[in-house]
Amino acid sequence: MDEIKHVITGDVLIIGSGLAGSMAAISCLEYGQKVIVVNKGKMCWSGSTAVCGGNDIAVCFPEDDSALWLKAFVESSDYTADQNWIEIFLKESYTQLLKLEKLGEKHGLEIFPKQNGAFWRINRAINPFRTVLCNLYSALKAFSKELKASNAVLYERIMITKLLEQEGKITGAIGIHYRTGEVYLFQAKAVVLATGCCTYKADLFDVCGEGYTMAYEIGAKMMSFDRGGAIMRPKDVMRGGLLCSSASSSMANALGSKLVNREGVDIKEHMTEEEKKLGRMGQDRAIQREIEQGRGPVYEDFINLPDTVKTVLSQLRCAAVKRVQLEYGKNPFVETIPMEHVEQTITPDQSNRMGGVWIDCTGQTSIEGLFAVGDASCPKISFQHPYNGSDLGWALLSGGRVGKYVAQYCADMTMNSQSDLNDIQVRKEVARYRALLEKKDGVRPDELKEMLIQIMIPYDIRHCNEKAMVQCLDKIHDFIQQDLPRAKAENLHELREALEVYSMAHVAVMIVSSELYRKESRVGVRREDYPFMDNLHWKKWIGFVKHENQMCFFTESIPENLYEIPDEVNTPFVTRL
Amino acid sequence: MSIKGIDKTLCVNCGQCYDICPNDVFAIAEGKVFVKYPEDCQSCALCLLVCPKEACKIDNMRPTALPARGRI
Repeated sequence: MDEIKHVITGDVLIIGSGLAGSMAAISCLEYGQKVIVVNKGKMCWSGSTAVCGGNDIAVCFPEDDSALWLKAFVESSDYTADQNWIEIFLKESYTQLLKLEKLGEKHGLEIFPKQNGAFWRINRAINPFRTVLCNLYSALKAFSKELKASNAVLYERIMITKLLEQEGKITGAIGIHYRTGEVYLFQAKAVVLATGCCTYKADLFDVCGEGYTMAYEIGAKMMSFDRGGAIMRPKDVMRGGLLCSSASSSMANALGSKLVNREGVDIKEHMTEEEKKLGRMGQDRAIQREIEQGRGPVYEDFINLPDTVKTVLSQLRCAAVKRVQLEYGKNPFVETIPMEHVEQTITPDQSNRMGGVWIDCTGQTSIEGLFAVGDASCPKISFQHPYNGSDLGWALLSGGRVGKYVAQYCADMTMNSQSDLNDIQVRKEVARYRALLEKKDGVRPDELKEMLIQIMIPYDIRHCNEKAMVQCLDKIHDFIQQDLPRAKAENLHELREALEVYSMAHVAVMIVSSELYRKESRVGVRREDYPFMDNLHWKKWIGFVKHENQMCFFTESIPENLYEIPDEVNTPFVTRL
Repeated sequence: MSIKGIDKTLCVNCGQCYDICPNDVFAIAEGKVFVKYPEDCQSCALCLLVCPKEACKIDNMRPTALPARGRI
């Protein structure tokens, strides 16, 4: 492995090219910036956007009731949503939607399918607002075409592992091409983190929170890792078909799909009003009851959907239709698809997607020149998972908005020259790669990843207490101190995994330590020892920053400029996860 | 559900699966594409989407065993 094979210089380095990163890249290009985009997978086709379950986006249309959106976001987040950003969302999300629509038109792609000539709004049972149907497949295709045709310099298959900063200012980043082993040094006036969230799923491997770890390590202020990003939904019914995620499930339902029992009866007829409002969770309960009462199996029924919706769904769910065809040997639009029933199974779905690198209303983090967008960033407009479309809405809004501010920042800046300090940081990073590759005895990174998943998934945030949290945190610390140093990489593929598991382990500490800091129940985290929501004392965000190698916590008051938060203590807490 | 392999009777070694896979599950040696790291498949099925010959084969098992549910 060479010390540094490539040194690339530009105004802005964007790390990640999902919805947020691509929007940010296009936004920066509009302002004449020299943009570098680096992606861990294929350009625009990795991370969570490419495999996103739901394909509708939270966007406030001009004709919408702003008060309804505000109330939905504030209340669903147990008051923790950032009202300053909600205000921006109400004013700007539609503009960003039009920008994306125009991009699609430019490349002959319909990103927002129309219904009767207008944007297709969706009334999901669980959403108080209407989302807009988006063909993410077309969006990613459009991003890919746009970026390739632009002046942006694009790099695929490079994993960025370290941000470079000097005297509190960002200067670039270091990464490794995990197919060639070449080391890349990127130098830029500004860096935009669009690295997504961090998951501990047994079936989503590439979203590992590198952005969080890298930002934390250079001293960026981090926020809201306490807020129930971890979702664990125990269920006895495994879904294998198109509705394999909760997001796609409620979206397809809103578009007119059905779940029918053995007798062909829509199971909605047997669902309570409460179950209908619970979306996927309510459906799961109803499915289980149908099976228990001898009316199973339950089938997904897409047969009677209008042809236009079938076309939209087959593109929206990207590969899902093809996957169902291959798995079941059936076309889901011609035949019903049986849902598997597996006893005592859970959906491993631990992820942090709510917290992130703190940003102000321009996307700027606490490190000069470092910006963050999408799931890498926090605050966000909503913190409630079941309100589908808000994560994508946040990615669209934050990514689309950042260009102007990055350009303003870059205009006043001169490029930092390569310094001795950067040289030292690069050498240290290359030595880290080399040590992993040269280690003779040790543990393979996929085993380590599995060990970490085994620690994180059984840790049930919906029913946790201080004792359980401390135990979990101890296990993570033990893992970091005893197991992680044993990581060895036999090749470059494993090197990438070893670097990922390093990041996941450190994000695990961020999540559990933050949850432990809050002494009440709020947003998905139900504390057995503090069962109530306490607005009097905990109407606060929890953040932390690295100081002298310690994670130092702080709290910040939540703004109430648009919506006054009641000073109630002992508010009954209802988990919506 | 995860990648089981490539049907070599159908595969034309175009490399599109290798090109798109987010987790680098595929590899190419001497012009031939093969599944090198099946355990890293996250079942996104993007390979199925891009394969012109439907040569990618999947099975309905999860790539890794699920941890037991329970409290600490």
